[in-house]
Amino acid sequence: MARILILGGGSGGLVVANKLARGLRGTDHEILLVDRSPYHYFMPSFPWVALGFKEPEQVRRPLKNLEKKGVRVIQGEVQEIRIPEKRVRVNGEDLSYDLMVVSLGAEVKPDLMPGFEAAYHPWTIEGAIRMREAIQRFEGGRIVIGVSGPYYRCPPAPYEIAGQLDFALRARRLRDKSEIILAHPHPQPLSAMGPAISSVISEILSSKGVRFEGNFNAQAIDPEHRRLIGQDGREIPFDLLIMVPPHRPSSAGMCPGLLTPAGFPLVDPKTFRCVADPDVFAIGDMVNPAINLPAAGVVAHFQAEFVANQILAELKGAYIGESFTPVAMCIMDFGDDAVLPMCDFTRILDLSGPPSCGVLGRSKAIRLTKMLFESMWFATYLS
Amino acid sequence: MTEQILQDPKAQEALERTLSLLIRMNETGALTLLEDAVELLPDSLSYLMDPRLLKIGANLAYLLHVVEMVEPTLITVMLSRLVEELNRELTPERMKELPRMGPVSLVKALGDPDVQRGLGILMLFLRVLGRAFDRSSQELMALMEATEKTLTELRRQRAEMERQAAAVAS
Repeated sequence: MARILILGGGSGGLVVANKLARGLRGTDHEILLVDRSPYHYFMPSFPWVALGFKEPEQVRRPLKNLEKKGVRVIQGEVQEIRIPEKRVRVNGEDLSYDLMVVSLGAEVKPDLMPGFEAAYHPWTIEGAIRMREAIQRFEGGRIVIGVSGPYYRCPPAPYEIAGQLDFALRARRLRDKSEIILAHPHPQPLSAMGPAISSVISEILSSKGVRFEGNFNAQAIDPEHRRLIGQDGREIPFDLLIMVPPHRPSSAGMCPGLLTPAGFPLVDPKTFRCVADPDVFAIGDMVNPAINLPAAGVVAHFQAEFVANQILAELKGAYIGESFTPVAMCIMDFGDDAVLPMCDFTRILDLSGPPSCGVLGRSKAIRLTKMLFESMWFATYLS
Repeated sequence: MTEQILQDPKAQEALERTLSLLIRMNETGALTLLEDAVELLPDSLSYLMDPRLLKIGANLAYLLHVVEMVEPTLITVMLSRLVEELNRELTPERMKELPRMGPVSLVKALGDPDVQRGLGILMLFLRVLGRAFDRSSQELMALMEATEKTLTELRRQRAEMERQAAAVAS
């Protein structure tokens, strides 16, 4: 009998738990999932919460629902991961494991940016609620959407927020009195994903009157004078600042020596097994930027399927021939327009070339797909 | 509540039809297929995300976008006149013996105002083609240069990671 410990109940952890529960049904292997929250949140919907289109309780489901599938759920804080001893400290107690999947995601660290208290963001559910109140109070002026650094969850989100804000302000008849500026480290909108996607996003932003301030690496916020300050000395005054907070990988006290200098766990990019111990897998936002994959739920999802298959193959001695699919798709909702971009990261994973990216569709109907995907996600993994 | 609904003849009829559909699906094996699909599909979303299929999808979507950009009035008027003229010129009699053209008749044809207009359009098209290819090749060269720079930096970082991993392993 093996005990499989899953750390994190986000996209990656949830998919691993479901796939293992199905694959190990009827066996005496034990599956445990640990998360600090009693809920799984569907993070792509956080901007909708901030814009008042969804309520917080609509975008979450209790992780305890997994228990119906045979997964033991422990609500608690992961305090320390001791790989050599195959133990994890949770709520002051040690949990042992035979195999472990670490999918703790990226943590939001607003304190790392001076003056962040003057900004709002939908990168946490609490942040989304706070941002909603700020938007409700907004009576016109300049909205600046800034990005604190290149590492943050869901790279397309700031562009979506800009589009959704334009739509919301027009609905509230405040658009004529408002200006929307998107300040981003990229030279062109989403240029890291190539010209096919970048040109479509640029066109949408320009049709919505959103000004793009490229190559802007934010350094600090001056709350007193209400200015966003860039590393190159540029300053952008704002009336309302929406800022992607600084992110850091949640390595949760993982053994020293097992992390890259930037704090990402060292993994084999072909199997996602930790270098220090092949019985430990690390997937998702806490590891992907170090292997040149984006911090996006969809990538964590496909890694989770692949990792769960490796575990099933190991435990059942069976050949389960599913490889990792290094693709990402994202439904970008701009309020009255939506885009479905896709990227294939096969070449960037082995550093032989750039990602191959394109746009699968652009239509208002794609927005409906996003809503349906949320329903499908909950129904499939947490019903 | 459920009992009340079941008393309704309409509900009874709907239930009977559903049940008989389920029986037929069971007999034909469709129900088993559905059960398997329900079990398999959510579990294997990555199978459907084949990069090759996605690329085909993206390319088709772009071609459709190009078609979407063409103004229907323009394309309708232009194509219908083109078809009319083709029908007028390419009659069955003409098709029996298509006109042949040598150097002398070519020079003579250049005096025809219709041919001159046609050539003008072709020249215009060639100019647009040349300009577009020039711009796109410059853009692609710049992109390749930037990509190579990024990849060099990423390869350096990856090598550093591998050195660190080897040190941990030893």
